[in-house]
Amino acid sequence: MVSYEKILTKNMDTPGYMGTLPEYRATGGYTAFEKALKMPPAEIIDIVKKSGLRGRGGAGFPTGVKWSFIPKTHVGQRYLCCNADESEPGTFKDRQLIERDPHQMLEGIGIASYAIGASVAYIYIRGEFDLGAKIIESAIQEAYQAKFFGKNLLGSGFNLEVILHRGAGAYICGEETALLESIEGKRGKPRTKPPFPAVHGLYQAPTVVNNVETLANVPYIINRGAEWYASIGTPKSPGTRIFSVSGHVKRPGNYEVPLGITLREMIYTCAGGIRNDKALKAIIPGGASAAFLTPAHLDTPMDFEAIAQIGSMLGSGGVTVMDEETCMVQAATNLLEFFYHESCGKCTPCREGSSWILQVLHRIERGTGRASDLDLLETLCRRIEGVTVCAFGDAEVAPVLSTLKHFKEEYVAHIEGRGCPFQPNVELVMAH
Amino acid sequence: MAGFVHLTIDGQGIEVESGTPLIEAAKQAGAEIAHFCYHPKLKPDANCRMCLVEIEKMPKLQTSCSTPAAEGMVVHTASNRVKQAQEGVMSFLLGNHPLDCPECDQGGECQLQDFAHQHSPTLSPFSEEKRVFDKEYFGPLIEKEMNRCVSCLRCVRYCDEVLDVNALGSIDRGTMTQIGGFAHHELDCEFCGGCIQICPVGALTSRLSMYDYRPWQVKKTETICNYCGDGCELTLESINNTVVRTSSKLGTGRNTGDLCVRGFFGYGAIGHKDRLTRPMIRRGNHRLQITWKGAVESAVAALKKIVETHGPGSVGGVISAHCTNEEIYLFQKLLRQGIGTPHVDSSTRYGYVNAITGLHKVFGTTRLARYEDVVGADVLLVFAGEMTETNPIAALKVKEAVRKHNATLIAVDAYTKQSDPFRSHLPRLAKYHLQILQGAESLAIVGLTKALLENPVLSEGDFSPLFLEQVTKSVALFSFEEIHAATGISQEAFSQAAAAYAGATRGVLIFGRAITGSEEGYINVVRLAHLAILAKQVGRPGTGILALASENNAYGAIAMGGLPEYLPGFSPANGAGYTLPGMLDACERGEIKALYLVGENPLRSLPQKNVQAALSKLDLLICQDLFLSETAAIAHVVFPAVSFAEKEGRFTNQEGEVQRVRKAVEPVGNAKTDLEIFSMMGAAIASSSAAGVPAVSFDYANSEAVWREIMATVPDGFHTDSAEAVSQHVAVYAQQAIELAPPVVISKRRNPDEFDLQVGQALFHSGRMSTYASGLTTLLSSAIVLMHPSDSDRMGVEEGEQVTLRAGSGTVCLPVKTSLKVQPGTLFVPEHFSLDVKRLLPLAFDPTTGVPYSTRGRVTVSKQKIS
Amino acid sequence: MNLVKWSKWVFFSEIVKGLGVTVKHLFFAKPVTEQYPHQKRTLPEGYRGVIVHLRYDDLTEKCVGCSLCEAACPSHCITVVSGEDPHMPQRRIAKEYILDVTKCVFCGFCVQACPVDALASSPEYEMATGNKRSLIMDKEAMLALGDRYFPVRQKRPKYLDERLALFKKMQRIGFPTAKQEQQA
Repeated sequence: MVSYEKILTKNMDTPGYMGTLPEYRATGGYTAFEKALKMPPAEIIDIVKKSGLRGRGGAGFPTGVKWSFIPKTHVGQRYLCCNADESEPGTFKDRQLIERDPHQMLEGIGIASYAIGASVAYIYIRGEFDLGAKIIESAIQEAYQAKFFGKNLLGSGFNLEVILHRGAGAYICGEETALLESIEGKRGKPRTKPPFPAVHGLYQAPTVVNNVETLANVPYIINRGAEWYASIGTPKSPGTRIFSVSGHVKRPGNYEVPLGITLREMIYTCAGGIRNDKALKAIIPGGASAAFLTPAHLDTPMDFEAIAQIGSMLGSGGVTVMDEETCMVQAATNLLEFFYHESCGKCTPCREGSSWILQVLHRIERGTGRASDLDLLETLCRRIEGVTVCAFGDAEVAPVLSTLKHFKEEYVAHIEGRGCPFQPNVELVMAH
Repeated sequence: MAGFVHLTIDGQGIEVESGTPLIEAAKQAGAEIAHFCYHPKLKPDANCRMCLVEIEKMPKLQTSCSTPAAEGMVVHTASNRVKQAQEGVMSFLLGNHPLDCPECDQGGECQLQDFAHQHSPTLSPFSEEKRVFDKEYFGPLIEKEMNRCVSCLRCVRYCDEVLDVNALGSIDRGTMTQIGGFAHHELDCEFCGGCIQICPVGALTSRLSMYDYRPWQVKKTETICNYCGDGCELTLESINNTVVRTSSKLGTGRNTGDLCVRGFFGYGAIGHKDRLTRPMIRRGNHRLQITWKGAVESAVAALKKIVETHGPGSVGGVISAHCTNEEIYLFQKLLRQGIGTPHVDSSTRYGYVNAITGLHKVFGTTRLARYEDVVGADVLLVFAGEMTETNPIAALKVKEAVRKHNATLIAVDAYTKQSDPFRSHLPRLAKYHLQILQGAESLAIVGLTKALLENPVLSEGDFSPLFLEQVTKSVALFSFEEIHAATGISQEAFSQAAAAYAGATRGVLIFGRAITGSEEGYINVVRLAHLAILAKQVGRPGTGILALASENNAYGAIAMGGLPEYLPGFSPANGAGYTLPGMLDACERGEIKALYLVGENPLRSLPQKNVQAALSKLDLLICQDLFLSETAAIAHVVFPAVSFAEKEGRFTNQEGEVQRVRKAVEPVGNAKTDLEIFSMMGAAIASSSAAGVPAVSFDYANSEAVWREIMATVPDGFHTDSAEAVSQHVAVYAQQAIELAPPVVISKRRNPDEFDLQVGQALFHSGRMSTYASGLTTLLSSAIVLMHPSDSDRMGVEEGEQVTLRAGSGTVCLPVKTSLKVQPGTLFVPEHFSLDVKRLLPLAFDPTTGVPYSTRGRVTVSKQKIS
Repeated sequence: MNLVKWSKWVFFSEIVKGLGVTVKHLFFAKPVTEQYPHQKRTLPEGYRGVIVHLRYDDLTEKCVGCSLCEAACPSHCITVVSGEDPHMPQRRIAKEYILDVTKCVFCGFCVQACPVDALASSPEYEMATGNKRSLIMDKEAMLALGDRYFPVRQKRPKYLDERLALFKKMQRIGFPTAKQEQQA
């Protein structure tokens, strides 16, 4: 087994490391922030641009470019929002970063805020992360006491206020504009884009929304240089990434590896292979919103481009592995139940479509499906895909479309066999 | 942000203003794009996804409501991709929509119906059951049928963005998203009906006209509302001579398609069963119904006898400012020329006359600001905290200026900044809110003027030294400490507000009944005019003063000469005429023997005065009214008149905008329009007049003929004076000596049981007529007393419990309603129901205009013992 | 001219043949005249007589007062005054329904337009009367006629039951409306 250099999870391997400020400082923490405050903000953006760091939240948008979208001529308030609303099924990397080493994220927030000129930064944390919220809260206090946050930081004249905002349990608030609405105290619903948050974001001010892992990477880039970071991973997807491997594997967990290692290496080397040595049937490479992949795709490198090429996405880095005994229709139904429950109800295709898709899936799973249902499912998905306000619509059809593509015979078996071949007599109810 | 962009829509080149949403640009190019959530009044939300279009060089379909037109865009609104997407969205919308169109009130004017015919296959791919919401009781006037909802959130956004009421929100999520009040509560809002009008489907419908009509059956008549001076255009929809619904057309009229509760739900009074249908005369203690001929003849015979014995000066007449211009003109013509008496007055005497005479004196005109100026203003100084209740649509313009165009609002009133939930309230939007003590308006104006004069930067300007000296002298009587003590406003607050107002590019001053209808009304109007001159916020385009009227034709009543001071067209009269209170005094003295009251009810409006005794001395009392009012009940002759929905004519709103009133339904019973009655009376008087007296013609074919005569008599009565003319008049005015009485300082309340009582208009009513509309009485049907929660807690009174108000020997028991709006230590009682409460208030008269002031007073309050 | 033709001409054979038909009908054929009103013809399927109202099997009327028949009627002989059912709040019914048979052209458009199949063309055609007013039918008359000609009724749909249950629940909570006040 090849071992890779860990960046973000390095400290966590140290026994007894609690992620407090003194411990973090002992490992070189906040030196990047001190260094950054002496640089002009444009230079920081340049470094991050050069490093090629891409957003770790899902879309993989180059972080430096995102920062540079903030209108330079804008006078007045700007905001940074750290998206810690990690709700994607199968993803649990931010949670570990928050609970085990919160200061690297806070340092990243400091540098990013300085780079974009934001004097207020919000951390929007998922409501269920009770422990995480407490840890961040105390970490923020520590940082304030150590004068890393507050007024006139390290004599640079830069002010930064960091506010922790706890969500109330809606998946959609992980979407950046819905997150902004939620912080503003409104109902968490995505906004129509354009205008993008970089122009009209929080309280209509220019805003950058970054994922926890993205921001946590920033201090290391500042400290060790853009070239160093660009040398890890692939040229287009540099750096390491924490993958949350779950499902039917022997050793589920978070693995920090350079981008570009193959799925095979991820599953069979890092995660120790399939549980009970069964055969692999399907992989979701990037959280619930990503399309299913099959064993045929095992040798695809895990970077943004390669995964996109085979019709899925790297997404939030949640790798879910399913063995041969998993019913694909049930897997899709399960995910759709989640999406049906979490659809915010703003736009028509997603609001109405999720319930109809789920009802069709239910009847197939129940054994009352019809031959025409496969076409119907496909039509329904095509009617949602690409016409919704946010990416949720694309996400909710991905499991259905990909299972239809790769495992059509299973659907046919359900319909012809009048029930689920894996688990007959399954109970299905629409939870309203 | 001017400028035009060129783009191609469906192969057709078109030029539109930059920033136009594509959906509007497409409309100009002749392509209607199906939509639900888009509405020109609202910010785009792009949630229905129906208006998708294909734009070349953009990978995804874009919503045309949220995409602004840009230079060189090539747009396809009907390509296959677009059609497929629209069909998809439509199939989702219809998937859960119930098939109850035959029963639905929206059927026939439903956007979903219309667009479904264009965009959907006839078969549904779904066989599962549709989702069903539990039926909820949503209030007495608005019906909610969530199964029909398409979740476009237009209602929610309208309630928030336009009304600033926030009564609606979306609750739950996913397919079960529904519209509702907070936590499924019954709706308790301003009931403007905007949500009903803006709903594209039948999810929100009017409970009041439920199932009474189908949209294609109704006869629509565009007319003007008669419930306040805003002059809103509304569409009366009638079937078989019965008004079944009102609506307003988007973007038309001074209200641009918005209505308030009175406009939307107040039509019930038109065909009320208590309406007078036949003329009546009194014989002893009985009223007899007789024919028109008999009634007119007996009235004219009695009049003639009085004129012969006591001279024409023994006849007086008062007309309601709810009548049309033509009617008021004809009424004063009947009295002045037909009979020859100078005693003509109108109900504007209750306050609005202060505004007109005051402004007219200073500026030479009173049409100083229009709604466009209000919307476009950058600073608004509003002396009308109750504006959202008295003049809701004019208040919408203020809200639009503040919320859409970020105008600075300075509110000076006796309300708190807080408001009751789900009611709009201007002080809440105010950047500077000067919360004065009740009755301290005059000192607040003095304070503002003083602050302005003491600021060397602001007081700079080309003023006549005499004017400056006089105004400075008038405000020098009080120090800021004294003003602070009397108003509750510090010097700093005055300075800030004055600086904001004087620093405005386009400043508009608005005042309402709090100024005109309360003590020192006339002089306060003059003081405000001085303030506007000093702040240089008058006489320039975009600036001005707007006086709010509570009656629909208050401006017209004065312009038509419906008062002793002016002849038609503001030409001054000889001044021998009595005002309304003067007439009542003259009645009591026996000087006036005959009184002709049109829609006027002094027994109700002036209960403190001994009107009963005055009227009982009359030889002839003619009452012309819709209902048998208190005064009509004791009248010798009663003529049944008709409401605004049954006649033709013109109303002039508070801006001075003359608008057409059209007949929607035939008069009830034998009732006749006021115009017809005046013509009949005039003709009868003319035919019986003595030889030698030149007969005045009262022969008019219709209201148009009267209007032609008005336009011939007063050609410039309705033209707005130019800014230069105003400036010139001000220059002349500034050279004159001004008499400014010092403001009166109100005494402090002595003990905690003492309260300042204010009687005024409530949102749900206007005068007496609205109390006949069942829609409005459902919302408020009897007098209540609004009290601040801190007071009710202190007194241990629960909401709904009775309290006793006492002043002198009079007592009134009223149920309490707590409200955050009224200041602690003050009470508010709506004026529409109880006469007794007015009897508690002192009556005073304006020294200049004779306006009776009886809206404020001091009472002691005690909790009523439960017997 | 040959012999056969000549003999036909000489013996008036065509006339004899024609008379034969007459004689046959005179003595052997049954009479075609029907003894109306003692005898009545059987009407063809789909005969369009007077329009009638139908009921569900529990005798509630089907009509929801949507006025679509009124809109569809080419001769403007239908007048619908819709309103709320006094016995079942929130259900739309025709408070008044007037069919002017004197104007009706029996086209059946109203039957086609009806979304709830409340109207039907009855086989009734004997509308001759001395009193023209009796030809202006109200809803009760039309229902009575419907009862006569269409005794087999449709089952009451489920949605009405659900609604009734809902209304009962709402009546329990009071459900005050301005409308009720207006009607009172």
